[in-house]
Amino acid sequence: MLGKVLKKDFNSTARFFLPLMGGYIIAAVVGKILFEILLSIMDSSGHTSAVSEGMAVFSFIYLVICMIYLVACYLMTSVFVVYDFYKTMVGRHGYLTHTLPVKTSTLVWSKTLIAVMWQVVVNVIISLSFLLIFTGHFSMEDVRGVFRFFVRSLDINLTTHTIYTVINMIMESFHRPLLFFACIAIGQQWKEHRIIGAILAYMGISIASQIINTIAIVATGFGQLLDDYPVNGYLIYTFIFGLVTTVGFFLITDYLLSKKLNLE
Amino acid sequence: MNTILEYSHVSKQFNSLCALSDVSFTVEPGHIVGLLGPNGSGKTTLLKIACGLLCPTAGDVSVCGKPTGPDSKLRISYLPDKDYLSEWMKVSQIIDLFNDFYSNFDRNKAYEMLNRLNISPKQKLKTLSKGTREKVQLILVMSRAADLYLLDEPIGGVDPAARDYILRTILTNYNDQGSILISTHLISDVEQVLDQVIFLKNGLIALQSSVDDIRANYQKSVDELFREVFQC
Amino acid sequence: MTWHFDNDRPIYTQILEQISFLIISGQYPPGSKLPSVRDLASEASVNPNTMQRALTELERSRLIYSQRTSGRFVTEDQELIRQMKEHIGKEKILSLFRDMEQLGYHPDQTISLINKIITFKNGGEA
Repeated sequence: MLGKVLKKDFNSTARFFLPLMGGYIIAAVVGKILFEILLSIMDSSGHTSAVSEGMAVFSFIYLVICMIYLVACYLMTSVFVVYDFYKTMVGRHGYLTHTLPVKTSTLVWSKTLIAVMWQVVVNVIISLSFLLIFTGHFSMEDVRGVFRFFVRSLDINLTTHTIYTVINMIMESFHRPLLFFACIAIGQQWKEHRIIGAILAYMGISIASQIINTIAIVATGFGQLLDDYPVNGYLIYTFIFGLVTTVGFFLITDYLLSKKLNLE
Repeated sequence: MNTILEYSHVSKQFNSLCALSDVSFTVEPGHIVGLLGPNGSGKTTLLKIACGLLCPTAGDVSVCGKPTGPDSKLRISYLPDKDYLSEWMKVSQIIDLFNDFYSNFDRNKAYEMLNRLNISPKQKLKTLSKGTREKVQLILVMSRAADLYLLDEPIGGVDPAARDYILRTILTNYNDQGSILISTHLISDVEQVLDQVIFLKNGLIALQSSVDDIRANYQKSVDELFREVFQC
Repeated sequence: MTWHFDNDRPIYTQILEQISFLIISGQYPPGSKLPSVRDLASEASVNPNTMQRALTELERSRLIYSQRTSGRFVTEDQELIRQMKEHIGKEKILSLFRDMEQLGYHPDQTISLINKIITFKNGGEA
């Protein structure tokens, strides 16, 4: 059944994400062309003409807009994920979703996996767009140099660090949508003002996490944490905290939507 | 044969408002039961609890002996009183969706019914009129061989000619081993297709009887009796 | 035909009467096959259980009979149909007399009124 639910959720989110990503890819390709023009104008400085100056300004403005688009892509990913969940799980389309012969946990799993998938897709496309922009302007040796500098200055074990970073990134991509889902499910418990309820839940959970984080850092000794295991100690803590809260959000969402569902 | 739907001591509280209080009844196989009551008497709440869209504050509901869950949802074919399909979808996509999820959905039957009403499967839902969308929803619901059909105000917002069409569609297409629970306040229109009625008054069951018994005992139609019971 | 139901009597008894009428008037000829319960119910827009009950009653009165596999048929017994026709005719006339009595007509007066109408009708046509 999970496969069928995934298919349904993919179809209903793809209509938002595909145009967003398609637009970004086109913007990035155009950006690359303008970037090359900009560079060639800067190379041939000395013979500046009104046309080339205008072109340079235009290219610059365009690249700034591209950066705004990029940030918007990140924001819209969350917005679309939240919108889709709200509409199909607690909104009008919930009438269909919750009468399908599927367990609530399967529904929540599907929503989560689809959200994770789109985050990965967005990240990959954005990384590729940077690669595209800078291709031809640096060698692999430069990249390695920057990397080595980074590793040396932080004094960390590269392999462990990479593993932790990747694991935390994966967890973060589960953590974020599930946090939103849990907030929506909590907001649903109010009879009215359910969106405000969800926002209040979000604020409540954020504040609570901050407090717990602060206590944890103070209790374990902030300095010590950094001294003994420069970055890894903190990463381990983040991992455990993230894992516990992510699982918690899943369980809260599943419980509230199966045992406390009150569709309007 | 087994009881299709069983409510035992079901109550539903919305904050201070009591929408249903201590409702118990059963629906046996092969019956068409009318759930009758004025607006706000708890009809929609009652149906939504059976589908699992609302959780009861107290009491139990079972469908074919099973509590609310994927099993009971497969056995129930529910027609809500509102537009609940995604407007961006094409009619054919929704049919595929139903076909994917419900093993008792009959795709050919759905296409036949659409064809008879000249509704093109290629159309998107948002381009259809409200009345046509309601017909699409009815077609989806009646194309399933379910054990229990829960129909919330199926003839609520349509003209008398469409009412006849809808009632005939329900009668010719339901799975006759199963049962139908129809909620409505337009009693005279559905009276003759019902064999049992439940009167719901302020969240309580005011009367439960067979239609022929009402006519034989009171010498009046269900509609007339309803007007008496719910006189303002 | 269109099916019409009064409000004050059980629907199955009214279905019973209306199907009897269809048989007596020859719209369902002797020996002919009746539509299925479901089709009849749908045609009359009534509950299939109610239709079933009416048909069972009709089977009891032998006006129709069922064959296990092939469905229900109108009786071939013309005499039975004739009896039923006479029975219903009598019922109608009795009910007419009852109504007339309420209007203050003695049965004799009713009959003379009927004769008058028949004469007038024949005269009118002539």
